[in-house]
Amino acid sequence: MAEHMTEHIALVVNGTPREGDVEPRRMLVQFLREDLELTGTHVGCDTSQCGACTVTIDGMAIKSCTMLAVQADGANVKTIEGMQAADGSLHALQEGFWAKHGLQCGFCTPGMIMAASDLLARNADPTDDEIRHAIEGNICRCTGYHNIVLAIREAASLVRAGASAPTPTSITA
Amino acid sequence: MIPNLFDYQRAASLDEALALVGSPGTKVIAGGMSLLPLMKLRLANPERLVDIGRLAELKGVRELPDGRLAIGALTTYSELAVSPARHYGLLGDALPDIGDVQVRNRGTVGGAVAHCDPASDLPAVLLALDAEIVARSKRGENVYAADGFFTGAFSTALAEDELITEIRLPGPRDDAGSAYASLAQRASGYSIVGVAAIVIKEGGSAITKAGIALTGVGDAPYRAKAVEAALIGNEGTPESIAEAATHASDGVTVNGDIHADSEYRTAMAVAYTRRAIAAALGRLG
Repeated sequence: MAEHMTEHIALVVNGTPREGDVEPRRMLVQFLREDLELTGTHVGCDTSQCGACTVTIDGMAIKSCTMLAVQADGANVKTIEGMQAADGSLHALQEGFWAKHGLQCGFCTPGMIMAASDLLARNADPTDDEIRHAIEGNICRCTGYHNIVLAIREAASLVRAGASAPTPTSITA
Repeated sequence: MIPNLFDYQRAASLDEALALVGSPGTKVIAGGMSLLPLMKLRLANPERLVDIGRLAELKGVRELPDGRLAIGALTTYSELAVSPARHYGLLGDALPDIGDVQVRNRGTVGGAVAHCDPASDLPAVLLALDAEIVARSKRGENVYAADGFFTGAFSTALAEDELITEIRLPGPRDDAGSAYASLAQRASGYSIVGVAAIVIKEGGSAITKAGIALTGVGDAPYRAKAVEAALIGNEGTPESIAEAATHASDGVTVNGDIHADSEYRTAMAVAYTRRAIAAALGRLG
């Protein structure tokens, strides 16, 4: 259908300016995974229920399967690939998930970490109830959530103890 | 799942948006939390999307000179939760449990009102508060009372060419107490029954005004006027609240589905109406 135009978008992903021409119907998650080859962001249910596709925009968690790429034009997006520091050291949340065994198959982990990063930006010392409320939009089929809660609590204490918030890694595809 | 092809136009101004709203095949998108899932399932197949998401004039919460609170239509649930609106007891109750954090970061107040999902929490809150819904079109501005605006499932009084610009809440008052109580479906979080209650005691110990509204129960969110009438002049004893709450679904055809048949839903409407009123009175002190 030639009459349907593509739209040019320019956004910042993990600190790096990126551009693309997309059909208006292209979801942000497809743009990230297929055009930018940032496949750390997962597609689970593709119906905005499971949260595996969670990324942050200006620090706020969103489900990238339910946002058009054109809606993200001009946005500052962070994906799981942008969490580690430029020197490769892990973000406090990645450390927490590793230390507390907050994953089994790992499919939900990128989304869990990005949702948790939204929480820790708003609340440096969340209770277990607040952690569980914050990951309500993220489904895990392996862990029963218990170790995920421990992992996020561990990350919060690492941040409070002075773990530096890493600068976004530059990714060049 | 990929939506059908559509044309996309980002409105640069409210006037530009109003020039497009209502033309055939056109849908307005703000946060997209309701529309995009429908488009991915191809239950909605607009030929053109008008994106109003960047219109700064529709964002933010401000207090009007007369004490009322004006909420821009593009205000997200997350923004509302940290605005002065959170001091309304019933909004403070309802907001944290709407959707999940990702949805609250994108979903807008105006979008929820225009979409009118029969299980949406916000319309019941607006009904109980006697909110006003302000709409604009090329023809001018139109102010709707919340009571009468929600006409059915996914159906409102909004005209085809109108865009919601603002929601206005009455100013907070010391002689009012309010609460929101809901029974959520465990997996989806949608309200099987949600009850918004506000009670006002002007001077004495008796209730002089009440706003009670329910969602999830009927075809559309509604004001439970028989409950309100039973509360007026009432001192708010547990017995009198329980009696008033028995009218929660008077005159309403109660929904039944796999999560709650109509008999159970009717019983829960009564129970949660009682709880919401008791909680509202408790906050009045």
